[in-house]
Amino acid sequence: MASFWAVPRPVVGQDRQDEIIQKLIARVEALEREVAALKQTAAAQSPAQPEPAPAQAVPKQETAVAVETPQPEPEPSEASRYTFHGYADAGFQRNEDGASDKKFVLGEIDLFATAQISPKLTALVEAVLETDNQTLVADVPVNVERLLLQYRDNDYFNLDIGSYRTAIGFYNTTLRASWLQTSLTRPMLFTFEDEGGFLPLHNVGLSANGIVPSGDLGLHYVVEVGSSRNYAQPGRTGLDWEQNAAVNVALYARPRAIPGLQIGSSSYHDKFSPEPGSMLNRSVWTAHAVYQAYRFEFLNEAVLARFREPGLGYGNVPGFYSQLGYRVGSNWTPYTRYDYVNVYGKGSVGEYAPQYVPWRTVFSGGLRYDLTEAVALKFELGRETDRFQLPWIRAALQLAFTF
Amino acid sequence: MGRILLTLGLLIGFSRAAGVASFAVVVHPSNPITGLRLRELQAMFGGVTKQWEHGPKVVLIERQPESPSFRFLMGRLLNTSASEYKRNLASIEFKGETPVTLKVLNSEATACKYMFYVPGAIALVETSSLSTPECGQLKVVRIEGKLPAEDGYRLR
Repeated sequence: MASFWAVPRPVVGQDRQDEIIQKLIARVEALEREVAALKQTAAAQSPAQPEPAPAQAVPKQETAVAVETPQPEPEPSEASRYTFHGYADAGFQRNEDGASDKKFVLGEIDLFATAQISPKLTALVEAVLETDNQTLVADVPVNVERLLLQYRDNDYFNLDIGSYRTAIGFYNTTLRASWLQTSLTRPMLFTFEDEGGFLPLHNVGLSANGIVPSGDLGLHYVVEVGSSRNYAQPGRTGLDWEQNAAVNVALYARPRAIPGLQIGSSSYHDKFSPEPGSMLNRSVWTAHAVYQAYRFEFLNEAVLARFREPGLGYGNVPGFYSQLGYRVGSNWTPYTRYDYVNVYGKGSVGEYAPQYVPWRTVFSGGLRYDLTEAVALKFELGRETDRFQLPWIRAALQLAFTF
Repeated sequence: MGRILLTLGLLIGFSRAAGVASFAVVVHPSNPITGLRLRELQAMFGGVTKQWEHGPKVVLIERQPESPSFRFLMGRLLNTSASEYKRNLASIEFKGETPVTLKVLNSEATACKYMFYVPGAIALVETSSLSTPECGQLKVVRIEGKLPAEDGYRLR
């Protein structure tokens, strides 16, 4: 043991310590010179005052001014910044689809992570464990919602490469995980593709976005080029990547004069194959006006989707939803939403379209109670009308949380 | 400068005596900004504005939820709740936008001390804290053209 302590320390470490000590000494000397200079200045300015008053109105403030202000140091490097958030929910449903009984349900587990891999590059991953679609104990569908390499150069031009959520409307880009949503359910218009939704909510490709120089109007743009998904539709057994370029252009404004307001629209076009062998031209136009501030959440979105094929006719699907919520006190948020959709058309496409979008209206009302900053309890009642069955009322209770 | 400090000191004393809570917005001394509109301040703490006009990233320095400055930030400045605020900030990140940089510290002194090392930092502190050496060296920003000592100051 004694021989261990007798061993000289490594030379490299000693050199480093000496260097630090030298720097500290130089620093102390510099400070001493500054203090001496300040004393001389103070003495020259007020020779009649031998000692400063011990208690003035703001003595500490003045003292603080005399102390050298530490020089600003660069911010800690964020080159390796890594964030992770998880979102999950569990609940109880009664008569969810008009034909089912009451049951406990496990919702999705949404795992979201970003990692800044260089000053201008960020990796973003969002994977969803769809436990609500689980059929076997050891068979949980995993959906890679987003996998993006994001290039962030400036506010005016950013480029995302990978799997992204299309900038169709507001809800699709902003809200997915149950804890993030005020309501218990999503608007029916934005039902996911694998659950029978008719909007292309996920694509793979390139997405450019940024600010349009527009002053207080706060204009933003999004231009997306990618391949769309078709899956879980009648006649399909799984995911099928279409190779037809999907193009989407979105423009929205966040006026500085009204914080919380966002108004925008988008125009999307691609080829759509609802069943093997068919190929329709799909166009989706959306418009939205959203206000989220000062306790209010007022979401309004309208959609017009058009499917057409020369010789086979066309199908038009106009729809909208409007959701209003207001926070009472610190934790209670009652809300209500109305969803509407219509389907009409001509030819075989027009005949098929109602089967693809069977629902007509949904009127929902509910209450969100934030138990803590990370846990919310929600209750919702909904009345749904459908083309192929009688109207029904559903009820659900959900515990949504983030971790 | 001396007059401002004296007025500030008197205001602190008056506020304490009258039980009126007043809050000051402080930034790093090297920050060239001298004043902010209330709306701009809300946009910063709400995560909408993430970069100063002169370049650095906005770094929000906040206190723990039970502190007076955090309660004022939620209840008066942003008119939101702690859970709603957390949800809003999470939504920004979830959208794939640049996340808000936020540091929560457990005392005014610690918050002010931390700010010396972060040029883009901004914090809401109790006006009485400006008399401490740590906070006294920070730059106090005018809100709607007024300092905490002046009549019509909005952050009270």
